[in-house]
Amino acid sequence: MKLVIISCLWFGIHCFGQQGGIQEINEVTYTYTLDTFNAKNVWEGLNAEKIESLQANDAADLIQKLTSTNIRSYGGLGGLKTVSSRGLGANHSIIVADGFGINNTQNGQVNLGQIHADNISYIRSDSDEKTQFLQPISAQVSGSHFSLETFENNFGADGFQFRLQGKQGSFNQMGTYSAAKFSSKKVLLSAHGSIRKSDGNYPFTLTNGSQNSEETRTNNDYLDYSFGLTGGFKFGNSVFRLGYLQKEFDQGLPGAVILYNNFTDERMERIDQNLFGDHVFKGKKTTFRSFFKMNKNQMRYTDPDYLGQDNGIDITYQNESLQLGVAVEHIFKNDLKIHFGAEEVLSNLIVSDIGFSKPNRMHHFGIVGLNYIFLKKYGLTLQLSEQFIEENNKAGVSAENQFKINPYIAFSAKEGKHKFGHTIWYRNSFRMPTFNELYYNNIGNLNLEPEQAHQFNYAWSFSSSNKRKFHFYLRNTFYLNFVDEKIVAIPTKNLFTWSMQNVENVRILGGDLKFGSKFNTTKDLSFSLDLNYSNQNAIDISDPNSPTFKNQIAYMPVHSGNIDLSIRYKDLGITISNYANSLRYALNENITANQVDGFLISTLSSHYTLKLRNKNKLTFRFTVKNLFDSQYAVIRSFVMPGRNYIIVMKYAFN
Amino acid sequence: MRLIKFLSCLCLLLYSCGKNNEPPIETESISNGALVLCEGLFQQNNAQLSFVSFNNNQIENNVFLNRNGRQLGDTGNDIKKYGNKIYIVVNVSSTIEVLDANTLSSIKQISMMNGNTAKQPRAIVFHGGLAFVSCFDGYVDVIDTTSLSINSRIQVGSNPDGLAIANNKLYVGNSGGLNSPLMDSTVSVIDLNTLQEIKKITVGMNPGTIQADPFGDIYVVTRGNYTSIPSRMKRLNSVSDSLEQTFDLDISGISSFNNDFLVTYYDFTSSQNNVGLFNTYTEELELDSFMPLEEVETLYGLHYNPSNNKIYISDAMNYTNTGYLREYDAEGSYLQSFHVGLNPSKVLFYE
Repeated sequence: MKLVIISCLWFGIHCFGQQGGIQEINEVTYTYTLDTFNAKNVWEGLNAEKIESLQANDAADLIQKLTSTNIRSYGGLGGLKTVSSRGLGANHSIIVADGFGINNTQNGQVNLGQIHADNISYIRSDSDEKTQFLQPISAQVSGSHFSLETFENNFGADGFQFRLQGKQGSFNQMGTYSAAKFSSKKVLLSAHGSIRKSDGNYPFTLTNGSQNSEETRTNNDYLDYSFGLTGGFKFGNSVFRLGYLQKEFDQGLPGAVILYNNFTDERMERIDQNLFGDHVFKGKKTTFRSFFKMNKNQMRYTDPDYLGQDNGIDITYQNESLQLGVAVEHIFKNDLKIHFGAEEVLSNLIVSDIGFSKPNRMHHFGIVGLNYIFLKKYGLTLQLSEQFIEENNKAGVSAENQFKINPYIAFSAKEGKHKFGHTIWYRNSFRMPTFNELYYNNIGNLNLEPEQAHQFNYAWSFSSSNKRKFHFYLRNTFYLNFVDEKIVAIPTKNLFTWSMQNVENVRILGGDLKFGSKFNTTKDLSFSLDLNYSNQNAIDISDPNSPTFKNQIAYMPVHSGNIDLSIRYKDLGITISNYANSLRYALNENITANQVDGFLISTLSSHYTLKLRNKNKLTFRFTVKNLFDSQYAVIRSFVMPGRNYIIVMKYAFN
Repeated sequence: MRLIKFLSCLCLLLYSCGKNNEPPIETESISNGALVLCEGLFQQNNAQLSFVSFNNNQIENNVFLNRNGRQLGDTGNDIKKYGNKIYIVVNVSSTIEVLDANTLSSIKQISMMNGNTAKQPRAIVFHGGLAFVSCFDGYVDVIDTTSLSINSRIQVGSNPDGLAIANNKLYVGNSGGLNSPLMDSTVSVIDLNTLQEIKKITVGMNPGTIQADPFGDIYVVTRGNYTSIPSRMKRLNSVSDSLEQTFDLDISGISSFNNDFLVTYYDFTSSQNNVGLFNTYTEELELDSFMPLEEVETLYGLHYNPSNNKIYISDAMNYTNTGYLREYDAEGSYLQSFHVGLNPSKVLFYE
């Protein structure tokens, strides 16, 4: 009962802070787990049901279903995929898994292609109004962040749960995933492991002028495996978690398709080790979370055919980081809440290459803010964050230390019976130059300044009652963002000598429209239709005399969107999902020669669940990806696979 | 099914928005003009030829594609004419494209692969019916210009770049540029009778451009490491094959101008690039500033056309925007500009 009261109290506050404004109470589910999602809007994120219907290979396949995101994919299983939100650039986005940030100070980007989707039970964008004050401070002060929850790191249904999955697909793709979890009111114990493998040598049509030829993508093999252990227990009002996760990767790097020279044998091996833990205390008025994460990321890159040295290139990179943080929320009254927190991230990079720097970074984050509800219909959030970054290069000159203060202000209002919501907010943020950008031999630039982002946002939303057979959700967002001193690599003295420079200013004027609906015709038959459309005019405003002034920046589609239709009849589900991008430009100059064609990719997936006795379930899935066999590339010269198939069998207990 | 079709059409409508293809301009005759090799950018497969007609100032871009129905490839580094053929060196695609000089249609594409390893050709010169191609894999390939086949490979230093011929010898700048910071600093000397390397001359870090003067001297630009070791021009004696002189200027390029050179250098006093007139007889910089460069954003190549007695500068802009060919008279006064492709570097003039 106490739990219910706390939940209601919390919801009372948080209903003002959901994306797109205020949600109707029964559109939001609140679970008292130790995770940091205080509330889950069934329309805004992707829940387990939707994730199952989409048949994603990785986190990128899911994130592209969220509005105002732009995925850059270089193709293939495990290939590099990054996300940028609202035109800010991938380095402004942070991925948070089960309340722990995924960090990479070497290149600042997380490869979404290497985050499995098999164990993800929920994913959402926190790029909009930020309300998850127990999340890592580094994520809260970022330009945008995405949060995901996994099966194994959170308390689940009481008792023993077990998952076993096997997958087989085109290009000799196979994967297995297994997880065992025991949850009780007091204890969580889980173990999981997975393997993914693919030959990856997919066929594609190479168009060269007026000539077409059938080619095969080579050196695209991929192998990864991971395992993890997590334990947790509840003690009084406290919940503790401790986990270990290790992932290993071995993959060929197919590189760009180069005309007349389609051979490469570059490879990458990577070991990623993580130890993480947290403690959440939920009192009557105060909630406190402390957390830590240690990460060691070792990467080996080889290119035996590189012409610079006798035996090619063989370089190892070791990036270590330690994150420590606390976050506190305190409720003074039902209508006034404060939050504050701090986080320290220590990181270093050791590279075996000749003459490489040995950078260390201490990144401190601090945050303080309040959330106030007045006249029962308006909500105001004020927040200030500070960051201090201390750079230390043990093998040469260090980059300059940085100190920044960033404000965030949000105002929400509701209308009617909680069905209409409005939110308006402004956020100022920045992203630090990465170790590579500052210190990489020849290319790095020690004088780089952080890249600044200013975001102005207005959104309205409407939810219909879900007591009816047909219910829907509509949200419309408008935003105006500015990215100042954008860090880009440009050739300096000649085409051999590239350097990182703060040279671009970008203005992003955009909007998105999201429509989610569900039609429960009978108890057994239901339809759901989800549409979203994003319009992002991200233009270069650096120099009025430049030929690219007011041109759309490279690889940013003006139009993008999804249309997903699902039909569920008893235990059978069929989904057709469509993802489209309008044409983009490979470089900032918007000329025909730089055009990269738009694309439409459709995926047809079906699944059938056989419910056996004693909570045993067997699910069969069959998916056709790229149904119409489109030949396309997200990035010029990096061709994507054509039509391909995946068959999955999953056994679940409880 | 209707609904699926409708949704797919909606998506198609969405992704096809904004497509705009301009019709190509095709020049009728390749004469009295400049054939400009535009390098393009790494991994973009967008090296191309632009033709600037001096008759009507018309510019045709994508000349190679228009005439051959296929792309030139990735990173075009050199273009030269020998006999009635044009040879284009495409570095990352690792090919030599041989074209008919009159029609610009392809005669042969010579693949520059060594097994699975791309040789990455960089520059080309000709002598006695043979073409000599520097390849980044440490060799100079010898190509018979009649059969268009590779006769032999001559091993030199690492990542050979610029080539020049004097005194019946081939001089090869071994840059070692792909092995930064441990770059090469030698020039290989190849006897053109025996086709053997006979000497390596130590000249300074990262040799690139090489140019022969009318008096048998060889000038080479050593580009340094782009930070602490500056770029310098060195003079070699082609009789003794020895380093004779170092010029204390941050020179980055040398171009023939009648019997003299126009040299591009960075002037630390004014913090800007300059073009100077270098007298090859007195072996001195005769004029510090030969021509104004206000119109030029990034000087990427300098070319003198003896047929119309004009100077042309390839302007690479910021290297990611399409460039210009800028025209000057022989006294260095600016005349006009022609908008060409991405990263224009080398130019071949047609009478």
